[in-house]
Order: sequence, then structure tokens, then C-alpha cells
Amino acid sequence: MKRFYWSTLLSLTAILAILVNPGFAAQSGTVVASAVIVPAQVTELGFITSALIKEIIVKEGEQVQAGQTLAVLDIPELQFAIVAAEAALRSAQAEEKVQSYRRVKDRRHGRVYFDVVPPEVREVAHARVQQAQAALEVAQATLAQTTLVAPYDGTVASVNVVRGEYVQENQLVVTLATLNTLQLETTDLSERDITKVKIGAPVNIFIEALNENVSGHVIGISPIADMVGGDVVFKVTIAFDKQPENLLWGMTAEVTIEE
Amino acid sequence: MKKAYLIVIVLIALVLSACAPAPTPTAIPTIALDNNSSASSTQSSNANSVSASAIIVPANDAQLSFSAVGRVAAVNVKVGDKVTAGQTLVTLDTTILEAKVREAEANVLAADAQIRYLNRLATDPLHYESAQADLARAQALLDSAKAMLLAQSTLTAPFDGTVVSVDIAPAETVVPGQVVILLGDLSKYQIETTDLSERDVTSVQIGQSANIFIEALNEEFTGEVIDIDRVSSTLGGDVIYKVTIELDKQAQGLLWGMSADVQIQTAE
Repeated sequence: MKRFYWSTLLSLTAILAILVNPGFAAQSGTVVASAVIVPAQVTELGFITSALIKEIIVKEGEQVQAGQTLAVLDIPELQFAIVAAEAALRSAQAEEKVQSYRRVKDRRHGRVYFDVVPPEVREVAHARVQQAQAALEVAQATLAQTTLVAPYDGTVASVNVVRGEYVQENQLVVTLATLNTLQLETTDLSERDITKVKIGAPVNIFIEALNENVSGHVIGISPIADMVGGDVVFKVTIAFDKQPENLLWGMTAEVTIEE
Repeated sequence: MKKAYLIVIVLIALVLSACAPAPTPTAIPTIALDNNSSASSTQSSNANSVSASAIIVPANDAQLSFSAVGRVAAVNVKVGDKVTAGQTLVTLDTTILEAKVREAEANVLAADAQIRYLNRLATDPLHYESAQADLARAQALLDSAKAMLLAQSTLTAPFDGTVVSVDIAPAETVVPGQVVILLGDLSKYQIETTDLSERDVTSVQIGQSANIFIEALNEEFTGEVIDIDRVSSTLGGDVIYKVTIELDKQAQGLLWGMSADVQIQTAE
């Protein structure tokens, strides 16, 4: 029976100690915060011209390679502008050839002879060719802006327009992300705790959806605060030491950052 | 056995008493009817001082954006990078602008050769003048194309500072006025009040000293009022004026946006 008293006494003293000093239970020196899983690289792609969408080539969730076409705008006049610029270039080139010599027919005597053309005339003709060449490049570059290509290998996270829809310049058309490299961003780390967080600090991560504990480390601390419901919070970025399987963008996690 | 129950009951009672918030009796706050301070302040102002909530801000900051529509070619900086004035932060794709410069250059060459041709022919002055005007026009268009290329293709740091946020990635598009980079001079912080009421602002003057309590650091600092807004802003129906306070000494560990409580000494 005596053993029972002592164990009761001991456990009660432990409860007492925790109640008096809550920091004892939370292990002083660590910072606990909620976090969300985000891709390391997200790109919101759009066009720099306003026009109708001619074609959306990719679907949500599709893997794409760098340079692959994602969407095309419908601006037929740009195609014709290239045809016109090409014709202007051919004309200038022909003109340059013509200017390299000049055939003159003497009407009175019916003779044909070649006249020496001043070098300036040939220079002008040559400059006209260069100008036509550059104009063609302008037209080609303008046409290229109607095609949206993937800047890197990634996954199409969202497609925000449909075929035939009118898009403004800078409007979000396709979101591309690297879903094989995910990281964490804290959402509620208060200004009171931010001074304890250091770059490189080890982090224990509990992912609720997978019911799994993994390790990571701090790779970034935002130099500016965000306001969340009246609280001043700082975003801390955490990288996984080894990324768990089945992890999805937007899952929540609880992180414990060691001091 | 009865003794055992007694001991347990006594221990539980002890634990419960330890749970009670504070052992010392606290006075019930009385309502001050003649209180002339703003109610939203955490510290109440008295006759000799004005209290307000505040945030930490850099002495100098800039929201950088492009002046033209374009597609980003490269982002050369990341959050936290220190940059110097004039350093290139973001560049745009300049394929079209570069081709336009080449086109303008070719036009200048043509106009120039045409003048030399007319010189050789010793043509009449009217033709010559017309060709000279053509050259001047071509040259002006070239200068314009070059200036466009220079001004619209890169974003440079206007002062020495730290990159605080980067809201753009390569291959994304920008429009004029869209903030792509937030730059701050984080070597010097100052304090800006967020809820100093119109009732209190009249007693605040430039040069007055202030006590600043920074919650995140749990530390008290001193400072001096260096600026008072000339125009009010509103905060949830209250008319407030922003008062800027310079810290006497820069503190370690300060971050942009941390909150502080300030007490400005209005009468010494």
C-alpha cells in the first residue's frame, strides 16, 4: 500500500510542476508552428498580349518538358505579317543585286553598256536588306509571344482558361510547379518566437495526413512580417531531409524547430 | 485506508490551489470617466505621455516594378540577398526590342549612305536638306529604340539594401506598376505608430523622446520623434496620425513588421 502512496505523490508532484511552469512540458528552446506543404518552384504563366485562346495543349496534372508548348493565342495577322516581312526581305535582296551593276541602253545608237554604280547606292541597298532582315526578326519574335512554352520540366498544376476564351495580358493561363520537390512554409509562427529560429536549425515535422514524423531543416526566414488575423507572423521555409511518399501540395503539418 | 484517502484529498487540494491564477489579490479595474486617451492603446496615456501601438519599419524601402509589359528572362536575386545601388535584379526578354534596335540601325546606315550619294552628285540643296532631315529622323528613332531597350529590360536597385520579397519567377509576365521586388534598407530600422489618435497627436512634437517596448525581443529602447504625418488615415472608424520615431541605438534581431508599444514623453 505504501508504494501506492508514493507513486501517487510522485505523479501528482509532476502534474503540479507542469501546471506551475507550462514551458517545462513544451521543452523550452523549441518553437512549434503549423505549416503547409508547397512546391519549391511555382510559376504562373500568362501572355504579354491580349487575344483569344486558340488552343490549350496540356491538361491539369500533366508532366511537361522544358520548351513544350502549353497554349497558343489566335492572332492570324501576325502570321501574315511574317509573310509580308519575308516578301519585303526578298525584294530588298533583289534590289541589292540589281544595284551591283546598272545596264544602260543608249537609245540613239542602240548600244547596251554597263555603267559603274556609285558605292553609296550599293550601301543604301545593303542597309535596306539589313533593315528588312531586322523587321522580319521583329515579326517572328512577336509571333513567338503568342505561344506559351514550359520554362522547365514540371507538372501542370492548374489550367485557368478554356479554348476560345479571351485573355488579357498578364492574365494567369497555366500554373506550372515542380511537384517532386516540395517544402514547408509556416503559417502562424509569431514574432515572439521568430528570434529563436536560425537558418539551418533541425526541424521535426509531423504530417497529419500521412500520420508520419520526418526530419528537415530551416532554409529561409522571411525578413518581413505578415498579418494573420491581427497577429504578426513570420514565414519560415523548411526543406525535407528526405521527402516522404504520397505528399501533396497544401497538406498541413506541425513543425517543431530546435533552437 | 482512511488515511490514504485523506492524503490524496489533501494533495488534490494542493494541486488545485496551485492552479489558481495569481496568489496576490488583484484590484478590480475602475472605469476612469475623465480618461482622455485613446481606448485602443494597450497602455493608457496620462497627462505627460502619449501611448500607442507601433510597428518596426526600415528607414528606406521601395516597391520595384517595370514600366512596360514583358516576359521575365531572369531573376538574379532571392529573398535575403544584399544588393548595391544600380545592381540588376530582374531582366526581361528583349528579343523584340533588340530586333527593333537593329532595324533602326539599318535605317540610319541607309540614310547616311544616301546623303553621301547626294554629296557625290552635287545635287541641289533642297534634296540634300531633305536627306539630312531623313538622317536626323532615323538617328532619333535609333536613340529612342536604344533607350527603350535600356529602360524597359532591366530592374535595378535604387539604393543599397536587402531583397525582402520576390513576387516574380522566370518566364512569368509583368505589367507596368506590378510590384515584383520589395527592397528595404535593413541596416536602419525606425518605429511607426499604427493607432495614435487625433486626440493625442496635438501634444506630440518632433524632437520629443519616447520609450519603445519591443515585444518580440522583450526589451525596452529609447528614441526620438522625427516625423508626424500631416494627413490622417483611418483605422476602423478612428482618425489616426502616423508618428515616426528614430531609435537612439539600433537593436540586434529586429525584423520588418514586428510590433512595439511606444510611450512618447509629451511633457518633461
